[in-house]
Amino acid sequence: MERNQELFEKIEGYLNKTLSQEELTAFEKEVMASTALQEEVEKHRVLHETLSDTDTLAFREKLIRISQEIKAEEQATSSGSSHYWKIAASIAVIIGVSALLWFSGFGKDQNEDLYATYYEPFPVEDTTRGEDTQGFVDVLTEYSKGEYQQILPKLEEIVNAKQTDSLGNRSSTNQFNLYLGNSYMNTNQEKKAILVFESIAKSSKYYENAQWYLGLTYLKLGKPTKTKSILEGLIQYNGVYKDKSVKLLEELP
Amino acid sequence: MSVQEERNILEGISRGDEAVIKTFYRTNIGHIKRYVLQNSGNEADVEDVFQDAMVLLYQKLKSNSLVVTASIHTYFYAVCKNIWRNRLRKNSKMIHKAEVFDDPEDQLSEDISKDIEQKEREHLYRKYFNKLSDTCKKVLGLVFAGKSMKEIASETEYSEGYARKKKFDCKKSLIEMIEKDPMYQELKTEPEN
Repeated sequence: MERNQELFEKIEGYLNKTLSQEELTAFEKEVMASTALQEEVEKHRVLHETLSDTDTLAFREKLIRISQEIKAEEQATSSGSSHYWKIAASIAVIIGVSALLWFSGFGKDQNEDLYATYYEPFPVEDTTRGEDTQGFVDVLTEYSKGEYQQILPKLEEIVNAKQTDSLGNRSSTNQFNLYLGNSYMNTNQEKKAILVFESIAKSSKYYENAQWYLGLTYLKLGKPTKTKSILEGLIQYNGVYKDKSVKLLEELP
Repeated sequence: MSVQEERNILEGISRGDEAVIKTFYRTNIGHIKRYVLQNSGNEADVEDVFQDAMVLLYQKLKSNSLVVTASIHTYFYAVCKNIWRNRLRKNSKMIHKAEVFDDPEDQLSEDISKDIEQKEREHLYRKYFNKLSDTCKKVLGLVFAGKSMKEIASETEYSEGYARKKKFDCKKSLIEMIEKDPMYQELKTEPEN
């Protein structure tokens, strides 16, 4: 069975019940005679059924937003409570870790070196065509110049606006999330960067990019163990970051 | 939890009530997180599983086809566990197929597994739809929204003939991308009963 425009239009006509009686009879006969055609019709049916459900798409976007809100709140409360003990514990950990690093000969410097070698800001891509790009262009120009601090408020606003628009284009939201995450990385707001990168779901075409930057953020924070497990995920994912991931993984202690 | 409280939660989710969903999220995410992380998942998997389970619940509520014999939290937990096991199995990380549904802890599994298969397919379709070019997304978005070719032509400023061709090209490449995904092959070869 060859896929051509005529066949697709016939299947669509059949599913939308717009075929004439004559066409319908002929098509039904064809379908009866071919399992491949039956499967093809079923594929089209499921495709239309799934992707016409904008209601569910909007519900899902709402969930993503709620999850981000909850994470942000958790972050805020955990940093506010039991401050004293946290400081005390951190000092103890710092002493312990530095001693360990001193003896193992591997230190913060090495993490930083690797980070500097591997990190490149997520490049500016074209924004969605037909979208209101006024204002976006300016932000992205500044972004490519490295004016991260300056554009942060505007970027946050863009991402929020895109998320509240329930029918908004999710992939372009994720694209802006990557700019936002990178801007956080470059303004020493790693925790925020982590939240942003983690919010990009596996189903997104930017998932791989997000994971790569998530891994680098942990490296910047001096948590190479976390970086490693993310790199292993990227290698398994077998996409454009595979080679880089293999190399970086080899260089990590 | 009283019957009334349960009903309020279900109605809230069905309405898309943010406050209700948020509370539900907070109450349940801990369990799910522990389960997924303990079974070779990561944080992103936790989010995926939780959200896919919520979508499944939402769709069942919308279509009035939810039959809950246990408490809503027990049911939800069982859905999440099944989604995650199903994915592990498909990724061949879990070798013994028998383990998957033979968990005496949740007899709900049988009812749920069919729903999950269907959901996995949808997940795949949405995933690749998002990977299409912006032009394709626009054209197919209009097609799936039920617009006529004439309307699509006028919205995209293509000729009707070109819009038709574009629709075919985009749909063909979408179907082909889906077919290439190993998960799709898995879903296809699974016996459905």
